[in-house]
Amino acid sequence: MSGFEYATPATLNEALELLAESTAGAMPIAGGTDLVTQMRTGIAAPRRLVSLAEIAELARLDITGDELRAGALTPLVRLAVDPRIVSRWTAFAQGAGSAASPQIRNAGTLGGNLCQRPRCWYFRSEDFHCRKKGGSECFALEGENKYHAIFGEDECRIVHPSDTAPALVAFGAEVALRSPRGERRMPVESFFTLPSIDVTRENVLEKDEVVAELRIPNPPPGTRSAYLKVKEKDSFDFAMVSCAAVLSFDGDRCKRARLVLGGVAPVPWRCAAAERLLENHALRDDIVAASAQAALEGAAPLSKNRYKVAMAQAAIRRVLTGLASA
Amino acid sequence: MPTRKKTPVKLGFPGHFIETAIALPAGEPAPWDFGADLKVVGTRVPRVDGPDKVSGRARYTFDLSLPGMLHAAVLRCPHPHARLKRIELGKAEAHPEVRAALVLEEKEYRFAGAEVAAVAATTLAAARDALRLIEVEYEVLPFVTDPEKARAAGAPAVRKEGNRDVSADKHRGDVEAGFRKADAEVEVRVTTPVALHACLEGHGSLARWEGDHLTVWDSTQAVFDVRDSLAAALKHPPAKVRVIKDHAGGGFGSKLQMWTHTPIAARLAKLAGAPVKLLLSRHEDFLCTGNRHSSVQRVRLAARRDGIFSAISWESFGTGGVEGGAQTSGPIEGMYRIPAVAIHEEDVYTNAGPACAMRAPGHVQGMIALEAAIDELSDKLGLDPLEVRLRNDKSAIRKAELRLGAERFGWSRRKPSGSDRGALMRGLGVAGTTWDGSGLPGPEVEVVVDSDFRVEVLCGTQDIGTGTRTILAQVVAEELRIPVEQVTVRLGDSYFPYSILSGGSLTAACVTPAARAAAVKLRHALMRLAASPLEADAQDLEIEGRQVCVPGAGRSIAFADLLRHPGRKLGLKGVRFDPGAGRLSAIATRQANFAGFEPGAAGCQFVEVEVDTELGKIRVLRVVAVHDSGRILNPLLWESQVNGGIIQGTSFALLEQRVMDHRYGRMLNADLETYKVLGALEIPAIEIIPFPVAAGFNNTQVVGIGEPAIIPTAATVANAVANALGFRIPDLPITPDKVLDALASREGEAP
Repeated sequence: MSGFEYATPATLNEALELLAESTAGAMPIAGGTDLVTQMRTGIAAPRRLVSLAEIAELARLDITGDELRAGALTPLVRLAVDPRIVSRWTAFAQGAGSAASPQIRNAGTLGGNLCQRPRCWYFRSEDFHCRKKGGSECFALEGENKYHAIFGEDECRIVHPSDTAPALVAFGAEVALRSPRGERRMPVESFFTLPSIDVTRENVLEKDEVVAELRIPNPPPGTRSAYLKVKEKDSFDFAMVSCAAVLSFDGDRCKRARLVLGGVAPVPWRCAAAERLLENHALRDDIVAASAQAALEGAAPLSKNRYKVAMAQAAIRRVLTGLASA
Repeated sequence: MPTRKKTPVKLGFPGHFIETAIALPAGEPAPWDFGADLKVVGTRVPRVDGPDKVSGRARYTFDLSLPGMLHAAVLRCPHPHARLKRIELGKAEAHPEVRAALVLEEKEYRFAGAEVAAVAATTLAAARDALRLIEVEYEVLPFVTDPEKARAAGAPAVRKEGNRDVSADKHRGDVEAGFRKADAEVEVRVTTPVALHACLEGHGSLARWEGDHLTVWDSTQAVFDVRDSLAAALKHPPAKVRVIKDHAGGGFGSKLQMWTHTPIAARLAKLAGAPVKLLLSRHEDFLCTGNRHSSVQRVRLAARRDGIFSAISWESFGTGGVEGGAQTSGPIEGMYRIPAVAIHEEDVYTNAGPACAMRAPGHVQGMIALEAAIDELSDKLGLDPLEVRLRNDKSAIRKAELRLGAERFGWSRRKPSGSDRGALMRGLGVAGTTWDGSGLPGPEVEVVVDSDFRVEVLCGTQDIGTGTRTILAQVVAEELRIPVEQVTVRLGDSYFPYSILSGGSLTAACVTPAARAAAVKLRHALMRLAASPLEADAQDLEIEGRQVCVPGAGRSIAFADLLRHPGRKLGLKGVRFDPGAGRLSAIATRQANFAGFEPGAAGCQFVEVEVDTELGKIRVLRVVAVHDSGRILNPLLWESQVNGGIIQGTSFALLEQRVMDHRYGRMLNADLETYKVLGALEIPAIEIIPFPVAAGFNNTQVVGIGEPAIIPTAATVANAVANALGFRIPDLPITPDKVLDALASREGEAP
């Protein structure tokens, strides 16, 4: 790890200035559970770290009648256990609670969970100069690709590692970004970007910009949601496949469906066709099966991750069946 | 040689005792009887160093610091096979914080991660920075890391002698006839991956020179072996090398030998004229300091209609990277009566990090194939696999254990393989174990008492987390009739009396008999000293508190008076009396093994699994483990060993594997995120049933349990999964992708 400056601004504006003025590369740090490991292995080598930890305005958690507003600094554990979140935004709370380990959920933040870098072992290894690091090859395509994407582009076969993002997309959440140019807001779904946009990044965040807040609208009455994460090792693992579903019911009929997969693509993977098959139907087994089938249409597995198709379909069926009978 | 009177002993277990007699060497106490009335031994004494460990007082190699100490870092070859063309240390040496740098003598590197050069600097960060200043050029050579490819003709040569080495080619009995005359035969092919030891404490050494005297604090299971290897590597007299290991955070076999970083630390310390600490990172640890060799095993097993085995044919190869030793057939001869046996085994050399012993080397792998074949054969014959084992097993102990375990586990619930229905399928499995941890002669233990009646036990053995300190304290406390707290045990120092490496489940059976003999000798010496002042016969005296007394007579003498008795002399062999210092000590040597009841330890485990056939996940729900290891000195520590074996075995069955990218010859998962080790949530409910046996072998009647406890677990899990699914996942670890792929391909084949 190279030497670096460490700044602890008390306000967001100060932090943004500190990020903007450093020409040699500054990075914001919150929980540090990912960034520090990147620095240890040389993937990241910031000359200046700007700690967001002291910035009170990033740590707010407000729940109103209309929405949940969670500052980027909110620790994952808080999102996982707050009874109001657990009852109203169940899939989101489950996502936050399924990430990493208890220690990391205590230190890790919501903003960090969204901005963490992929776990791809070629990307994380010093031995491989992959496309995401400016090289010319995605080593996963012909290599050890068991944990890699079955959707997306051959440009780069990472999967997005966030466990909160699928539910945020499914709930139609919005993210607020702050930079010296002010604030911009967008749906979480458009925050994440495919490798074809810029293979070295996973989202639209500029170098001098930070995630400030997430706003999740109050789901309509009759909404039930769930997040199922399939891990190889339950104690502490990233998703092989995960599934967030947010369904609004009228009686036993599904009025509105949002279905988002994790672990299968470089971004949280929205399954629009599968959603359409659910809407205006009671979730009978055949509807559920057809939806799960449709969700994986177009999957293009690699040599060692064909299993993800079956696993994702099973995860979808299980989530939907669980919600239908809840 | 005077003929000694033979001492009668009763060996075995209730219902199966045999009477025999052994010739006790002079000074050797008779073995404790099966039903001996012991006060401390056999009780659940908490680990004596537990409070130090949980409070952080226990110091591991990583915690040590010396004045002026430097930190070292190693430049490692990034290529799986390369030759050094040019190296220039100048810029690294010019770094203001660097105090020494060296290039290793070896100029050809046969795996990615091999040591090339090293620097010592005032901080670890500076040492790592300085590595980047070393200019190095390699001639990159052809390599092979895939063992199947390494076996093929024309593969790049990993070593001059060739990539294949036949390690066993044995025949016993008429194998051809055994198969020809059998009523049924099966062939199973199973593979196991390279696994890593993944000790909580990694490898590292701290070296200090005082003149020409070298002290090394090393993270090792073998202080004497490291001393000798280090002395040889440095061409320095062993007498001037001292190796110390106080506490250890696991070894599992990866610390039974000296690794290259140890002489590097010593050489840098010499060059710099300052102590040097060289600790490996987890990444380095996973690349360079050993692993469990892989295996590809093809086993044919044949039997008569009644399940009695007639022949086995065993073909196996595996890779230990740049090291050999990839056998798997170890369990065959030990467990079952098989009249005809053919074994062919090969080591395959590849350009990958070296294998070394790992908890029951070869046995863990071999048991998977052997026990798989038995289950498949039983299914084919329509027989209960437990019954088939009982009909063929050589061991009276294991047969009793299988029956006891089956009862407690509820084996009769087992359904025919593949008959469960639904998304979640249950399966039951069983497998046995065999391992000879009955001990070896040679180790020495010294027991010292001073005039304050402080008792110290000295032995050069290591406590690698198994509880060696505690059991030594118990055995000595037992013989001196004192509380365990009164005994301090000092281990892990090559200046202490000699002991062998802590491996092979040998330690308890090696050192506790010597400790007991020394304690008995010390007690005799104390009584001898006290006899004349108390005007009594030595054998009538007893120790009570800090005194020796004549029970019932009201006469006693304090230790302070007894041991500070200038002029007294004791003519006892192996006893040293220093009346000036008020110190009495006795030393004893572990004698050769006596005749035992059965070789080593038996044991068996039963497992229930649940296979999620939709998500591919396997949960090990419950394990019932029945184990014997002679006398159980401390059930608390013993259960901890069995728990550890089952957990590590489950981890091997379900998760652990080194992943190499064979195109580039690099390991991809040299970290604890992607090299997955079983965590708390995956640990099954474990029920342990101790099966005490009068094993013979030595005076404490103990046999090691460390290895027997891991051997059957993965085999049992694999059998239980096969019972659930109705077919076998042949390749370990049994991960969700393999389960789903296997289910998909069977669905594809179905008419």
